[in-house]
Amino acid sequence: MNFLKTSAFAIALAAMSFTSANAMNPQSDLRLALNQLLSEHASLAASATGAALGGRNKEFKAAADALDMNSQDIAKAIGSVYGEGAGEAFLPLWRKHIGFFVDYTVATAKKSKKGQKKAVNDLLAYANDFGAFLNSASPALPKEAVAELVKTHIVSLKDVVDAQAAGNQKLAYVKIREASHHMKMIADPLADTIIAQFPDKFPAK
Amino acid sequence: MKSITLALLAGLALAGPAAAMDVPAEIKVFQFMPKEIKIKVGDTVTWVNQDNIGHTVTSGKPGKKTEAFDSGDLAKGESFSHTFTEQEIHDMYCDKHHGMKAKIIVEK
Repeated sequence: MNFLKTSAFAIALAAMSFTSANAMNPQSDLRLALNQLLSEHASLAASATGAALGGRNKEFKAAADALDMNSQDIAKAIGSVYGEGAGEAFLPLWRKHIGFFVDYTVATAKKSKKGQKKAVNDLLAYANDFGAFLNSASPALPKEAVAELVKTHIVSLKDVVDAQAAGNQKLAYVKIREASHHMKMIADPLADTIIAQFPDKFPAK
Repeated sequence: MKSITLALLAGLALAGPAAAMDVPAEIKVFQFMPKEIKIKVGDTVTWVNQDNIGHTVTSGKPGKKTEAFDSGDLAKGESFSHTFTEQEIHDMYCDKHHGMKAKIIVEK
């Protein structure tokens, strides 16, 4: 538990301080913070879906709370780069895809193909919204490319949920690692684009 | 004193009501900018969508849409104008992205 608190604090600190004048290297700090935050997102989402599918309600609640704290940290990071208003706009958009994943997990638990299909369609539509958000904030990030990366993120977490629902824990953890590693594919280009867009905020040291 | 007051009143009558204004606004990075607009009755607000995705300019709140105005789907670069004819406070939102909200305060 202490580890969780310490870890969350460190990540929140990293998210809020990467534009600080005291940063050792603003560019690598940004890259590290985005990778930590997005990788944590994938891991916590998998913890929440695993607990939900296993009927472990207290664990699900704790994981869902931690996942939302992570969402708030990501929104703070977005706000610190693009402005407070962008951070505020980002949070409900980001939470929306988590809600769709909850829908997918519930549908999977109920063995509802129709529910699963609707949730997947909602998630794929969300990928376009997310691509548009980042493209608007950073025009150098093509909307379609971002949307494709988010679609891969969606499929990777869907694979986790499917493996968890099938009771195949070995496969589930392979997929959790894949989902977590894939976040680098989003975090790194996002960091590179932000560094190029805001050279004064993120000077090379 | 009386003549001065009369002269002031005459001046006011000649000036008439303030001319209606066109107020520019935009939709950018999933935000209405500005988030709160104060205008006078008769003023027109025009929103331009700068995002690379459709948004709407809709009066009310998510799940509680009102009849005052609704742009329908606005693609990138498209605009929507509405003239406000009543003193009122309008909540507004994007019907496609419910996190996007703003307020229009129409004063006399």
